[in-house]
Formats: sequence, C-alpha cells, structure tokens
Amino acid sequence: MRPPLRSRDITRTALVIAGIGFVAYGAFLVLTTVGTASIVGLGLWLAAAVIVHDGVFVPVVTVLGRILFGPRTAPEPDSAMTSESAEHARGHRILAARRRPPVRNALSDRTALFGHRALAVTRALLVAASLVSAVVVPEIWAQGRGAANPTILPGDYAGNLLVLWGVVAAASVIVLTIGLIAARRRR
Amino acid sequence: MPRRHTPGHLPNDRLTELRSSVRERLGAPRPQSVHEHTPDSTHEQTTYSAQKQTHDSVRGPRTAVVIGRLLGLTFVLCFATGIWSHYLQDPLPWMRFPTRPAVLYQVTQGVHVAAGLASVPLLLAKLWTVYPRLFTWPPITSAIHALERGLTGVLVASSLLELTIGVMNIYHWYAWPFSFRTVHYALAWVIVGSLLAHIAFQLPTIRQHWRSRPSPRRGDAAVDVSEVDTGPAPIDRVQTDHVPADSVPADHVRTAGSDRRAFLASVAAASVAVVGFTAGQSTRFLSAFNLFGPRRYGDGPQGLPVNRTAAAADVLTTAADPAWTLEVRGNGIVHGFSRSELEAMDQSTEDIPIACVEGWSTSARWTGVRVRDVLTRSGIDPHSRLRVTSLQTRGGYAVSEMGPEFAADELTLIALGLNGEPLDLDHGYPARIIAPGRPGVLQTKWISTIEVIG
Repeated sequence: MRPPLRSRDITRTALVIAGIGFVAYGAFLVLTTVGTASIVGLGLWLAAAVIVHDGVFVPVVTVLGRILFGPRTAPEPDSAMTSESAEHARGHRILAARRRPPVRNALSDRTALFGHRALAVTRALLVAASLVSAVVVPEIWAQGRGAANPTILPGDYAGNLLVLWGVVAAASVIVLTIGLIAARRRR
Repeated sequence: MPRRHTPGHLPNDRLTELRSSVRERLGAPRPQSVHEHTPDSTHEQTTYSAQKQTHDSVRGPRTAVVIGRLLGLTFVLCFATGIWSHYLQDPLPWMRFPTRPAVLYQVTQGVHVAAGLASVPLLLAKLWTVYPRLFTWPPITSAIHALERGLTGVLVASSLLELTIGVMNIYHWYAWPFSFRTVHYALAWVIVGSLLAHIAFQLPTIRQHWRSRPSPRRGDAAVDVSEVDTGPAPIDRVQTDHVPADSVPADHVRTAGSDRRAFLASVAAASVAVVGFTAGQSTRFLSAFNLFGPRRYGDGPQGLPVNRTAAAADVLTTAADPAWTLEVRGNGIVHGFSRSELEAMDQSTEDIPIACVEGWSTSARWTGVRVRDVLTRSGIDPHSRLRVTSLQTRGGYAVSEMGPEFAADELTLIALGLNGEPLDLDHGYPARIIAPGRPGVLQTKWISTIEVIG
C-alpha cells in the first residue's frame, strides 16, 4: 500500500479531481450520443470484458502456466542439490503433488532437468507467442466470417500464426536441449 | 511452522524472498492467494512489495511500473492521434487543420492503430502483474479507497473494451450493439480520466519503482519502507537493519530478477511483433513483414485497397450512367460539369495516400481537376466550406464536409484517374474527392454534388 491520499497533497488531489472530470465528460458523451438501447449493450460489453478477462482468461492462463512451469517464485536449486532435496523443494508443485514414484521425480522436475535459464527463455517465448495470438486469433475468426471485399483480410493469418508457433516451438526445443546438456554437465 | 523461520531484520524484499525460499526448501505449502488469512498475512498485505515477492516474482510494483509506463505511452499516443482523427471528421466551427504534409493523417492514424495494437500485450501483461490485488482484503478500507478501487474498475473495464472493439474494428468485425465511433471516442475520455486518477493514487509507488531496485544501503532501505508503507490500515513498520549483500542467497535474488526481466522481454517482444507484423499494411517499407495486417499495401484494383465497393454502395448503375454530371452549387447558382468537361480542364497529377481510419494506407497517384479551379469556374470563392454528396444510397459516409483550408489547397482534387488509368468503379468512378492529410472516409467517392455551406 501507499500513503493514502490526503487533502494536503495538492498535486495528487488535483490530478484525481481532473481525472474524475474527464471520466464525467466521457459518461456525459455516452449519455448524450449513445442511444438508450445501446447504453444497455455497452454496459453488458463492459461487464463481459471484465468477466471474461478476470474470470476466465487469467485463471486459465494461470493453470496452464502452473502445469507447464510451476509457480514462478521457485528459486533455482543448487546444482549440487540431490534429486531427493530437489523433490522437497518442488513438493508443492502441481505435477509433483500427484505423488509420482520417486524414480520419476527427476523427470517431473523441469528446473533440475533443464536449468532455470532455459526454462525462463522457453516461458518467455511461449508468453510472447501467446500475446501475439491474442491479437491474431480474433483476426482469423473474423476472416472465417467472410469479408465484404477481397482487399479486407487478404492474408493467410492462420498459416502465418502456425509458422510463428513453429518457430517458437523450434527455438524452445533448441533452448531446452542446450539447457539439458548444460545441466547434465553440471552434475 | 515454517513461518517461525522468518528472519527478523532484513529489508522487505529480501526478507520475503528468503522467507519463500525457506518454505520452498522445507517443502511447505505456500500461501496460494493474497486473501488468505494467516496471522502475519496482515503485515504482508500492507506492503505491496512483500505481497508480490511472496506469491510471484513477476507480479510486483516494479513490473507494474515498467509496463505501466509503456502502456501510458501507447495510450497517450492513441488518445492524441484519436482526438486528431475525431476532430478532422467532426470539426468544431472554428477549427482549421494543416494540409501538409500530405501524409500527415497516414502517419497519425498509422500510429493510432499501431499503438493500439501494441497496447494489447501491454494491457494483458499489466493486468497480469496486478491481478492478485483484485482480491485485496478487506476490499475497501475507506471512502478514498473505495473511490480508488471504483476508478480502477472503470479504467480496467473501459481499457479492455476499448482495445477489444478497436482491434475487432480493424478486422471489420462489428459485433457490438452500439456505434463504434461514439463509444470508442467516449471511452477514450473515460480511460484518460481514470488513468489520470490512477496515476495520482499510485504516484508514490510509481516514484519508488521508477528506477530498478537500487543496491540496498542502510538509509535507502529504511527510507523506502517508511515512505511507502503507510497505508490507511494501521501499519507494522518493518525495522530494516543493514544486511550485507552476501547474507541473502544470491541465486534467489537473481532468479526472481531474471524471471521479471524475461517476462518484460516477452511482453516487449510481443508488442514489437504485433506492430512489426502489421505495420506493413500502411507502409511499403515493412510490407514484406506484413504477416498479420488486415490489409495489404498496394492490394486491390489499380493497386489500392477498397473499403466499400461500388456494389456495396449500390452505385453500379448511377455511377456508370453516361449522363452523370457533377453539380456545383453556390451563391444561388448551380453549375453542371460532365466528366468530359472536367477532363477538358487543367489536369493535375499528385501523389496522395488514401489513409483509412482503420490504420491501413496506400499511396497513389491521382489525376484530376483541382477543387479550387472548379469552384473558381463556378464563381465561388475557393476559401469556402463545402458539403460533398455521393451517389451512394447505402452505407455511411455518403456525405462529407470539407473546410476551406482543404478546398483551397492545390493538392485537393476531383480525381478522375488513378495510377495512370481512369478511376476504377470501386475507387469512385466517375469522380471522387482526394485531399491531403485527411481520413479516407472523407475522401468521398462517386460524388454527385458539391455545395457551399459557408
């Protein structure tokens, strides 16, 4: 938390009041230029945007991220760490928590297997490609609905997105392989 | 209990990092969400930095500030260029606009859409970094806090919707039950206002995390904590004594830092990729990388993309009618110009881009008569405000207005030809308006009348 806004903090107070003024102007524009039926639609779309993002999008991404990588706070285990202590360190992870037999623990522990850096690079690649997809997937959908003339949405967006994911997948495999070799050498 | 292992005299970030690493090594379950109540979680909630370090090395004020700055920049670019575009289309009576450079609107609207597209990864990342704060407990601590959270909700909802409909609009996917332009414009003001308030509320956090975490010195750490951690709730001030750097396991700090940097790099890469792979729709320079642009530079009949075809505007018969004449009305007199009469006048050839509100643009070589010549021939002062009406009976933008600064400009043409050929029917045959520095929706096609309105 931060210091609360106090009336003596003139700059911040003025900014907040100016901000509220702009918001009010925006609301005034909505009320005067958007028809009543449309205002209801607008309200539904605003609510849907928040619900879809906060209630669906983020939880799904969170679960996917945990399945693939585990929680982000996990520190890098010492290279000298035995697989037994690594198991302890990773005990809380979703996959590890499935009580796999000890023999398989080394495999389920991605950090020990590939090294932290290789995993971080892979995750960054996947995050970037997913963010790009957030823009392109609606485009592919819109293209599927059909365009009014051939100069609108003329590209092979699905093909290009597949190529992008192919490049990301190939780069991830390379990075993970390098990480795997480096981690083995450290042991 | 693992919490007993918490060391007592460390600066906040390190304290929590160490704490989490201890839990980690003991295989203890960590708190999974911010609103979990444990005896010392009250303390954790009062300190933003503590909160973030406990749960996710990426979710924290430093990440939020770094992404917030970029998002603030793209939002300001969008707002400024959006206001420009808005007033070009709906000018107040006293407004005059520069007509040079001719590519001005191509640039401003290209920036508008590029910055909007870059904002998508940035906004998603920004919301990701602060998501746990949605569940802050107690949800409201004071009237001011309620105001802050309310305005944050307004900011989040309107930003999400603004970008959603903006992106869908450039894909021609009009799924919403309201007018795009009025809502996109009104939401822009709501966003700017709530963003201003958000910055004001967060100013101390922004200032504290503007630069990356400085190396911990005794004074700094103590000042940092006392400056920042005086929330409305009673505060448990953390005593921060100096700790030698080597007393905290270096790899844990490094890991958290590198996670954060990797996250920021991926978000930056996504924003650059989204812009780089679409900007080729508005500039020949990048057209080789146009993987995802909704338009293709130089595509379409006569090397120019089309928004509304002649068929869609329902002008196939009226535009092809040999009896077509352009009516010019002013001072109570009506002058008629047939296409051959226009062709017989002084012709100019100019390179002027068609720049759409959707951000795509293509430069083209137009041939035709200067509007000011036609006005002079009709006994009208070229410095007049004009209303141009199209033959089209279907779809919007059948009527446009033109300020005197555009009417009198030597680049403003009644175009009859395009790229060396007679104008294609889809580009406005028999005649269309083309003027420098204006949105494509004002470059009225299939014109039938030009009248003086002031």
